[in-house]
Amino acid sequence: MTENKDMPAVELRGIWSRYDGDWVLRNVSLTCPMGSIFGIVGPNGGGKTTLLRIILGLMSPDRGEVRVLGKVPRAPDRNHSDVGYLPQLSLAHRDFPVSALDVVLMGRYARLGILRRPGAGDRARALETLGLVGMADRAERPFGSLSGGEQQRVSIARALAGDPRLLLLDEPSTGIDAVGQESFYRLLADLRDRTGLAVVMVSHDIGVITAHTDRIACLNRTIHYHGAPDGCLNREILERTYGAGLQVVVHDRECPTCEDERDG
Amino acid sequence: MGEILALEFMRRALAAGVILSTVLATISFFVVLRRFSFIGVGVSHSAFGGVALGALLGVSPTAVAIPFAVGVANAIGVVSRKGKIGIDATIGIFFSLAMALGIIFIGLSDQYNVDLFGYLFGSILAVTTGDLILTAVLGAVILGLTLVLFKEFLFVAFDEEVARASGLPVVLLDHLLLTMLALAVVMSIKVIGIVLVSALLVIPGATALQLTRRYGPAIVYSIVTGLVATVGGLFLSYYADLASGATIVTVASFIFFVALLFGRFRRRAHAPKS
Repeated sequence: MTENKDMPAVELRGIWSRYDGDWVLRNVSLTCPMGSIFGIVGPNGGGKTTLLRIILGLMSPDRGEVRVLGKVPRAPDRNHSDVGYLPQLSLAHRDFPVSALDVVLMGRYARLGILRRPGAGDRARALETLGLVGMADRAERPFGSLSGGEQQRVSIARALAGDPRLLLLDEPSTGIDAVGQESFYRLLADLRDRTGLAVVMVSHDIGVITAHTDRIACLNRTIHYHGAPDGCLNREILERTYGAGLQVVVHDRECPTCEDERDG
Repeated sequence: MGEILALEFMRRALAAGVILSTVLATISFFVVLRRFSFIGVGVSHSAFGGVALGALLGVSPTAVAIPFAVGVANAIGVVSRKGKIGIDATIGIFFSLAMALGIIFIGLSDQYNVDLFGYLFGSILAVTTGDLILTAVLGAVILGLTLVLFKEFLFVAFDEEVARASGLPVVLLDHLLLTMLALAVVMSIKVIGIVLVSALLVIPGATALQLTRRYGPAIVYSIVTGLVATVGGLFLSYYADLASGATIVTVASFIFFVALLFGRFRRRAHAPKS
């Protein structure tokens, strides 16, 4: 397939997905261009993780079309070296015999392929990404001995270590304090500007998503909004996404353009 | 020492023991990390069905036990992945079914000359030159595969979801590990016995994880545990006239408990002082 410069990183058209007989995703369409940070916000159980798993090719939708970097994603697939993935934080079993560096090196495996072992170049790249998330001094520490936030940073480094063109993040700020978050999102913006990286991240945290993304979708089984981050911060959309009875504490920052886009 | 090595059967038992404890200990590392320990119990007991079927058909019990154990190991893998029942229930069903079939096969066969007790509990007298060759060949295949796919097995055990997302054929790797586990079990039946072989799929790996949190040393400790338990157990069983499998597993368990104490002590020493 020829590389189209305007090819979107992720394109979903009319996705329907069922789980245990229940439609978790209903007619979801969205487009994430290359070189942008895309946020998906919505309540827990709203289908955010399902959507990520479809983009990763870990499951197929019941209906609809998926294109990731121009291809239909299907794991296992060797081309996945172009996609970095951060799953939701789950604490590793404490005694698992790997160091932080070993974990980051796993992010290089897809590029190496079976049979080849990580070499000096891979180690250097892994150490460099550990440095990017401020964990270079923890490289040799057993992964299980790190705190939740530190494990999260190492997992982010692993997602970056394969030099992905698309980064998929599931609740990336879990366990990371405000200062750490600020520098993490600055890092993402920097990678986007320097390498044209596309980022899709899902979170239940509206504040984080609106502050650090270029585009946003509000998802609760179906898309309630798709556009610039500011546009979703009105009572009507938030209530439709999160349900009535929600205390809207964000300040009124409606953007007329986005409103028009949504209504049109 | 000289006396024991002068005996042909003892030399064969020791050679087989060294090979199979190395292989079991290497697999044990991944079995413990991938949480396949209980599958090892299920597969080894299922091998009884194969041994009994071999006895019924009048062919080599080991030759029938190999496809039998490999089949059950992979069936457990498939059912636990596809089915809506948990892996513990799946194993519980397969393992009792295979044992039940084994008892039926024995009932149907009119030969009583097969040493079933030896298959169940291990016997150092039972190792033939043919067994030794089979052990060496299977052992080389299993160790070779482990070496080649080391980083893949490690990744899958550490984080199945991310391994799958980064393109590793997780299902295929799991079935390969289950097949290797089944082969290792069958090649160990003669010396250690069906009832106890699963202990050597769990204890060396679990012992190593008490002592280190680096995978290189962990593999080494796992193999050392397996070797010391097997060779020490074989000597002990010869001099004290005890069942070989039982002696080996008792020695291995003793090493595990020492490591457990040592591990707790080490962790306390490393804990930050308040």
